[in-house]
Amino acid sequence: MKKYAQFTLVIVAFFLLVWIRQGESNSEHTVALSPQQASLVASAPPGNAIASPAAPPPSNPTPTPTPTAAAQTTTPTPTPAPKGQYRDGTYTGSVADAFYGNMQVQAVISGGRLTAVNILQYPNDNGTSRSINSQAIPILQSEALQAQSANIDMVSGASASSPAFQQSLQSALSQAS
Amino acid sequence: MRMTRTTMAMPAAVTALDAHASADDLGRVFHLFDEVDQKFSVFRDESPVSKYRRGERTRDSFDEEERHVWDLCEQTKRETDGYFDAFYGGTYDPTGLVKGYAIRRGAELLRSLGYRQFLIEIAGDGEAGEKSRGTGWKVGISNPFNTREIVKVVQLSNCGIATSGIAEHLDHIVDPHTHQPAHELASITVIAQDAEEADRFATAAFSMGTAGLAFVEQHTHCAAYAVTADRRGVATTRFKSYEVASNL
Repeated sequence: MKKYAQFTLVIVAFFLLVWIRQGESNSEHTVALSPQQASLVASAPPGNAIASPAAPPPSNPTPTPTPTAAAQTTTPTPTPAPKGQYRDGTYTGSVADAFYGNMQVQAVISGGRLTAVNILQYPNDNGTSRSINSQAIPILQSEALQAQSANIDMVSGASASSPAFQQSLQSALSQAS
Repeated sequence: MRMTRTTMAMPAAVTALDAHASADDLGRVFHLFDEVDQKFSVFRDESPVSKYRRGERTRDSFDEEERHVWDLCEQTKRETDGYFDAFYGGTYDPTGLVKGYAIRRGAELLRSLGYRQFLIEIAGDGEAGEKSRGTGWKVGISNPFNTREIVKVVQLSNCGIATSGIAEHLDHIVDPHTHQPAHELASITVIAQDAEEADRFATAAFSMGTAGLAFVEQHTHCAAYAVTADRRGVATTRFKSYEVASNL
């Protein structure tokens, strides 16, 4: 009888957990993996929809300079006017020394915006920027980063190529401005 | 017993808990690392690979190990749809997998010497044996935006781990009009059967962006955890089986 009670408790706890997880997942962001994303496209966030050229037109057919109330609630900081737009084109950055090897990127400017950063040379692979044909396209949920306790035997992390990436991209962007 | 050295211009560590662990044996692992570096480094003018790149020798003169690494580069290019390309621009640069190759060889050497409880690491990539009966080594995945912070802890036994990414300064590169970072991923960590496979796949998956997660998902014996440019974490479905519960 005691065993039966324990079993029931486990079943109830399980469904409770499933119910809670579903509630969580509804509020979580999802990352849909599409082949189009493979070219490292910088996309406009929903919160900045006003400043984005790709934003859907307002329901009011007459354009108004003031943002709608709904948009205001999703825009935490004032968005500067899109001034100083880049010239359209594809700009190749300088080859920068990334300690383990070379880093070189290419900036693609379209409609005055930086729309893609292609990695021409990456220290570990000399990878090209060709697109990948994803066969399986899972929908994976993202979660907020959360600091963990440091009771560990080893750390695995990104290596020291960042200044080189920055250097190469900035040189590409300076050609576009 | 734990021993640390610098190899391939990177920090490396070998830890072994087996009762018969000796400084001699652990030293042999570092010796192997140095041999691999001297043979395959493109940063050493006198290395056999550098000589091949300058046309001073042909593939006919490759020894068995050089042929193996060449084949592994070709295999990886096929497997990753060209995202890992050691032959880019008509040259030959095996750098992207040499670190993982060296770690896997080091693990093989320790196993051949009767070691079971070991952890080998070069600059954040590693291969784990067991830590003790039935438990693994705890490996923290660092936050690429703050490398002193750990954002995930995994428990590994008899497998490899590697992270590819852009540390710390990624958020400084933004699309000036959307104010969003210009790259989809800040880092991606891959857990695979050994350090060699983890290294090859992490490098390729990072270049793919978020499609890299789909790439790892397709390999049923691998798992991955990525930190996106907008500072969120995304795991493949099999990652959970390695994860240690948060905030222990």
